[in-house]
Amino acid sequence: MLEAIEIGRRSIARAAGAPQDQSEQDRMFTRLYDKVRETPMWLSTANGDLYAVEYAPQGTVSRPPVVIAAPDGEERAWAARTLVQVARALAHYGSMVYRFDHLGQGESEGNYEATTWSSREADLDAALQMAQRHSGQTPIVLGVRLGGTLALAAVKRGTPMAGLVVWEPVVDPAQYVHQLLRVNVSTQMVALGRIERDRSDLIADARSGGVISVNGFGLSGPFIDALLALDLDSKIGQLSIPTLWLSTLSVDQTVTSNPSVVAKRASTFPFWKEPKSHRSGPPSFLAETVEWLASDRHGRGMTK
Amino acid sequence: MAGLGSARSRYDEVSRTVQETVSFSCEGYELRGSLHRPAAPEDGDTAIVILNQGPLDRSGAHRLSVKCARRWAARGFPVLRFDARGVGDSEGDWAIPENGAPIKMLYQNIEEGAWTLDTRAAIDHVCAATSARNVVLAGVCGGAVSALHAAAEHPAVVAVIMVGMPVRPWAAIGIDSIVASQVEHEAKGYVKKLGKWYAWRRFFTGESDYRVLWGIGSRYVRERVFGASNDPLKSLNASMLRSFRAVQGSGKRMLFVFPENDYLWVEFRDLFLPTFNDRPPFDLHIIPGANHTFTEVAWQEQLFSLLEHWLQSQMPAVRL
Repeated sequence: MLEAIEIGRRSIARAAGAPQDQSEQDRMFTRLYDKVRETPMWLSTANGDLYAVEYAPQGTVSRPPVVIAAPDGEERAWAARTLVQVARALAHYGSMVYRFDHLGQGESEGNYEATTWSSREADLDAALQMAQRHSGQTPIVLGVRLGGTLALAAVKRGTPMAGLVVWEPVVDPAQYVHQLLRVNVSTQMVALGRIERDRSDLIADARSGGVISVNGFGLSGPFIDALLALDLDSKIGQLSIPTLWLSTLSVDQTVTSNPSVVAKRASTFPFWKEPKSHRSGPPSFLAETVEWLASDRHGRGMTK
Repeated sequence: MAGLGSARSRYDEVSRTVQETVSFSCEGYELRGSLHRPAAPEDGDTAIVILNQGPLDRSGAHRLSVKCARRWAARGFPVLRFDARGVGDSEGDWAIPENGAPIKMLYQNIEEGAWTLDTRAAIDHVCAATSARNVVLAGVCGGAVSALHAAAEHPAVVAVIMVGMPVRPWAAIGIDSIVASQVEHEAKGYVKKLGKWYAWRRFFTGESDYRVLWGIGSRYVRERVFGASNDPLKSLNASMLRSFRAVQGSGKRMLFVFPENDYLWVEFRDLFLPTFNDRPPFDLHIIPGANHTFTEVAWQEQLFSLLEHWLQSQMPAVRL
């Protein structure tokens, strides 16, 4: 078992066994990982400033730097805390870690509805360049959900990265768009008692300049069209950098047949969705990722 | 340096405010926040602190907190959004409840004041970092309860804005204990759907939530046919009530805002409001048609406008 999990359990057990005279507040919180150095910063891009945080190990940097590409929109909101825990854990194990908010999301500048697929690509590129400058090494990207898809696209564009880890990537962008639009349709049902605009109407609205609200995140026509036009199969087929692919779903043969990819199906809680139960630590994907980073597979383009 | 550092200030061209990333300590943990300052050379004497909406980080659901902060700072208020322990960028991880427990148990921690110390630290920080002497607390859902708890004990708090605040413990809310008027409303809705083809399609294709259907149906029959009553409905959150009475006793101003399409409004209306005999010691506004998180722009605009007018009416010294 990995130390990460053991540390979490030990820490929680200590808190649960705290003396009776300790205040309720003291017992309610603990620290899953040792303190790491965390430095928030503004990252300037052509489109606006991005909020980013650097997580540095207290001791020696022993593993490659990691840039976390987060999920998008509402998924980003639900995943945010988990990804902070992941960043701290990876720094605890010796990596410099960089987390950032895309334009129009989290703490960054801008408005969500004005952002596009291209602006997300530019955000990731800027974060990678910053990580390279700060760490002095070419970083690995840890892409989660649409962040994974974005990272796959970045590989195809030739963006320098030493390796790629994807967690539950969006492999069917059309289905992803379909699910987002379904949220809007459900909201219509609840608010109006009927469906005024179905999914094709909504896409038409977006293409004519409208903004489609998905739980408060406004999707623009250019963003929807870019997602629908993504050719992910060719991106996966052309993956030539060491890649760890973790998913709760069965992984397509396009992925498993690529010699650069280590693909694993694993169960984890869907931390990118509104939770039904409380999870005190990071997802099981982290243990696989820590193990992969500790090996030298990512460093020499190993096969499975 | 260990722990959370700070970023440089960033001037926002659009809202003409300055945003700083700040950190401050609470019980040995460092908390991270974003402080929005008016572009004017001096901060106003009243600051606003925005609390976390449950487990969401300080940006809020679809960045509702960011939008509020930019607007309020542009109108002269220093605004601090911060992450309490166990959420967002801040240190501290929840030790209770245990891993895998229903999320309602986490919400119960919040409802019972888990973030009161964190909010106190945030109030102290904003007063130290700006020229503010008075503080208005604002929160949505769990953030509203946390705001009420902190308002009850911190002397710098002059007013509290509570949006979509639960008055009963989340852990007590379930199909078997929803208020009678909601059972009636839902049952009527199901009756209306009897003639809709899509409702039957959902039913026969397994898309319907049979648990909810059964729960509503059985409650309706028990109460309408057999006249059963449900005493647990009166179980308001005791710690919330204590804080409410303390705030009321101190003369601090309170504003409750509810989205119309939010079950929490139904509980407030049916269980809490009647105890004041039409003379509630607070202001109350309803946003028509809105849902719990104000997902549509039109609802957000109504919310912003309402809150700005209320702040203006409470803080005449501050120009809006």
